[in-house]
Amino acid sequence: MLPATPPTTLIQIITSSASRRQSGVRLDLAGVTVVSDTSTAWLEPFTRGTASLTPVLLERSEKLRVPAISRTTFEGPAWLARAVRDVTCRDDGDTHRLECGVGRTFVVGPGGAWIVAEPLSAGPLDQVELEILFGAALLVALAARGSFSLHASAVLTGGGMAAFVGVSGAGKSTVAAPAAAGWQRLGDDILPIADRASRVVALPRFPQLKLPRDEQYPAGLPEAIPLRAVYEIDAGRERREVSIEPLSPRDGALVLLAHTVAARLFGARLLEQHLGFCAAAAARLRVCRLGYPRLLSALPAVRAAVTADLAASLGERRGADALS
Amino acid sequence: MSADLIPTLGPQTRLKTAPQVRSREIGGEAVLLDLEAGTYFGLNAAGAVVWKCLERSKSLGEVHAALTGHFEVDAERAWADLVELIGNLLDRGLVTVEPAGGAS
Repeated sequence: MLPATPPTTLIQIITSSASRRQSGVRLDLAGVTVVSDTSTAWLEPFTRGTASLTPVLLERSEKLRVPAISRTTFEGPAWLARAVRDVTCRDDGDTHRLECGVGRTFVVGPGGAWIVAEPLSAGPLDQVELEILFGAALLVALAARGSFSLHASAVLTGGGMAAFVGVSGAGKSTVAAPAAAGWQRLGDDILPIADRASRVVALPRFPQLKLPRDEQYPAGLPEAIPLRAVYEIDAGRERREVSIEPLSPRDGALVLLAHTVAARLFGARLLEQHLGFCAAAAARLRVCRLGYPRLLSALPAVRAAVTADLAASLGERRGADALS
Repeated sequence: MSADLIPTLGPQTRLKTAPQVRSREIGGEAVLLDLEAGTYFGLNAAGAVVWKCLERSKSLGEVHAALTGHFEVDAERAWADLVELIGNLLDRGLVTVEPAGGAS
């Protein structure tokens, strides 16, 4: 049996039987070390040399079959690797099996310890398969390790880190665009978050396919940054002014649940963990609804309002810390 | 479905939370997760009290007593709100009605 709980923060990726007893590319992604027998140019900013693949996994991977997986967690069209694809995901509680209408099936092992692309004899992965492997499959593996990923843009401000979520086209990327004075954009698509020592942290070192190579997460920044606030964007032409409305922990949890990437693929056990995570995170995070007129001319006022909101909430928190 | 059932709901009625539903209390309110549908529902403070009672197999009369004990609310209004909430929960398959005389 493969270990259900991996001893290290390591995800191993096997896509070929040729990688038996070989080393793989070492990638630092979202606070974990990923060792993979395949890589691609857009992962180069995250590459840190090579590392060994565990022989026991390789021994197993060739024989890996998952006959017990019969429960379908999701079946239908889904936006994946820049296209709508017919996706089926099955799980047996610990292991997820992801079929996306491409040549390979991706199997994510217990605790997110490994991902195997079957069949192992199918040759190099194409671009679409790589995007699914280092997208949906890796996000399910991270989730199984307790890191859930928001579909969000993210910025580092003088008042801390903030994430913007919202439906596609809501304006996440626009608000976080690097034109903002005093803000540094840290991500624009996928933002893994986790609970570290009872704090919600962002783990922004993750490939952002929407951004060019020189705008990927800088190597010099820490792997984990405390996340101060999440703003759900509600922009509309009919709106006249910028408004920030703090949400209750319950509504904050619903925002985090709704904007988690790949959650539709989660099996029952992972869904339960996701609910627990979002409930705990919402109790510690500031989650707000951010309304503003859908006009480019409104953006400076939006950013000023967010900056002021972060500063005010930081003041509140310091006050609360002093009292406790 | 619930519209047909609502007239039959009485203080003796017992409901069962559906086995595929999980709940989390958050700041006095609650979030429900339907594992099969992968959908979430928010319950306000009163709804959270109701859900907690249903999880403990309380009758609707007992749930009503819990509501009027927790909140300053007129008994008649509390019953109407309770029946409306139960109708919504039944509609979404989050609870089922126990057969009469089933649970004690």
